[in-house]
Amino acid sequence: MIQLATCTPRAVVSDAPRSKTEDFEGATLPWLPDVRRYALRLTGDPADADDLVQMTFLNALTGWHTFRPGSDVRRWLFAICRNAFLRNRSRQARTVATEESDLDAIAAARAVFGEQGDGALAALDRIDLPEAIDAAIAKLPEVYRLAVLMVDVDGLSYDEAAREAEVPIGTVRSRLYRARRLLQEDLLRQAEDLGLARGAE
Amino acid sequence: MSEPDKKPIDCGKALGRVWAYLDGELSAEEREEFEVHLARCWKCSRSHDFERRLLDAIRQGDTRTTAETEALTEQIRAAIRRHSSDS
Repeated sequence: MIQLATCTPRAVVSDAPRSKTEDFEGATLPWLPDVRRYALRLTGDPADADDLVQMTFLNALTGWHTFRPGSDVRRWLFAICRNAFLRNRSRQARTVATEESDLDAIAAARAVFGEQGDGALAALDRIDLPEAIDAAIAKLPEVYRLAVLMVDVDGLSYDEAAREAEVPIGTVRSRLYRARRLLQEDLLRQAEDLGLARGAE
Repeated sequence: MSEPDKKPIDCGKALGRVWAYLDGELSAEEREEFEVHLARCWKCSRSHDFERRLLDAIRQGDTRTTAETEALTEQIRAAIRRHSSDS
């Protein structure tokens, strides 16, 4: 008998003689806090996030027979969550008016640390970083938020994210870099509001 | 005999590669060029530290479990069981 308390969620997906529902719960529910954080980052609203999480787990239950034992449950749930989110809002919102070139993105990548120097590093030490990052991600335009979630949270490569989003790889890179620049600016603004960023230099 | 010296990359090029480096998206040659530059350049090294710190925090997120999450877990467990008994 597998001792659930001592197993990682992935290890539970095995040949254990359990019912389908128990097997599903053992494999997926330990990831619920991660899925909720993911949903909250996608929607930016706690009530919408909870609805999305519930939809994710029910969709996952329906599709449980398609899950390949040994593959990554967390990533599988994130993909279901993301797809449910994308299906439930207008397609129009998926596009941004202008895509920036790679060069713009690279220039953006250089800018923040160059402007702030070591004050930027010090600022990260002094704010509540997890909370500040979640707040900053919630403010990102949707396509940028999705790029950050797919690459930084799901751990997809640029190529995998491009295939998932059905856009060229350069677009993923551009959106990702732009998103990170916006996140950095937001975090440093939050630190400045607390009197922490420039004063720390 | 040692490999002929390659032209080192400058700060502009290095800073443009920081995120791709942290994402594991550089070729072996690009990665090596970047690391050689980083070992010699304090400013780019600090920039790399800043970006790495930030990306680690984004990847990890806020892992503090809240009472709301625990309540949601129970709610979803009940929904799963309802759904399973219906089907």
